[in-house]
Amino acid sequence: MNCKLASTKLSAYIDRELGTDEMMQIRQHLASCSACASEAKVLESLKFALNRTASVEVPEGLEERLFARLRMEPVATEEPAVAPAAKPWRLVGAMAVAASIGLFATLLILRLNAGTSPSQPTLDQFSARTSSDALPVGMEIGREQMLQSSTDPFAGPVGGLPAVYGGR
Amino acid sequence: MHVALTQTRIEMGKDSREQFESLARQTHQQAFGFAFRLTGNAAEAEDLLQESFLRAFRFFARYDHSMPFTSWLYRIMSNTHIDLLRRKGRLQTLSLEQPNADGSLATWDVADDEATAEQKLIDATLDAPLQAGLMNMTPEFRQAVVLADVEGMAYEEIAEVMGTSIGTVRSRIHRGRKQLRRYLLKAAPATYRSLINEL
Repeated sequence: MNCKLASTKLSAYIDRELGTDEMMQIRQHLASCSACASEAKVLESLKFALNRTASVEVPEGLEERLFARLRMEPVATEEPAVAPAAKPWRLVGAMAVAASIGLFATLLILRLNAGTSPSQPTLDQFSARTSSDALPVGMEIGREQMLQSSTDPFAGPVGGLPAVYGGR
Repeated sequence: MHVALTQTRIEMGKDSREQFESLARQTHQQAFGFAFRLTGNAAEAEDLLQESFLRAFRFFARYDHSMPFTSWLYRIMSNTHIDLLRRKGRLQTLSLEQPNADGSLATWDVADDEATAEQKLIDATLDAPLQAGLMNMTPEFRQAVVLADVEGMAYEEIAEVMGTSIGTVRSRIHRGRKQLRRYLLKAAPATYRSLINEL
């Protein structure tokens, strides 16, 4: 094993998070490479120092404030509505269908009105305008806003739980 | 000292609020410690703690009782922490001399009764530069390092908490420790030397 490869595995080595073979290979490399052995010692020292950092003093009244806030929150009677992020193709598909219907309707209206209203925009003008105008209305919705629980009256800007929790 | 609650048994007939409050009572102090290591000061740690417990309460129906409550809670806290950082649009750093947001100096409760008085003094002295070093890390690296080295979690559990692969956890921990080393070398060389010479 060379130094470049060994150095990427040193933290996992000192955490004993490598397989038996890799642990053996790193151990052998450290026995013959003083630079990597020194690096491993430094990383282990940092781990050791962090491991024995003093526990943090909890502020006075923290528990009371936490539980007072929790008691303001209603019990959820059912699972909150969360955007189905696990199946994003459904959203994309729905948007594609909606766009197709909209385009078809637009073409139909333009064709019906052709020649009756000189002030009506052409198809090109219409497309150019909708492509820039539609975005602020329909598309610029933040992901967090989409994930807000519609059933939660206390849901603020950070009230929605990202769907990546996946039920856990 | 740490509460894993791996085998927490909850009576099915109990009210879900009671169940949640029981778990919250057992874990909020430990969770505050985690929040403090992520945020670097008591005021922001309390904000993170409250927001995380609120989210956990709202989604308590989704909690899988076969997994440790702290793992689930820490997952929420990790995500909430990143959300709050993004919302503030900043990666907060903490200098060695910087006091807490309320102007007070950070205080530390040394809980290891087995340690000698001299060792306690050394630990408390080392804590400030180490915390400052944590605050200078990339947030995801900081989370991984705190979970591994302060909370003592295995990589598999950290991967579960962070919602990522073990390979990513391994990389984040390694890169986080290297960031910590660079910070200490530059900002607190005396502390760095004393740490290295101890082993």
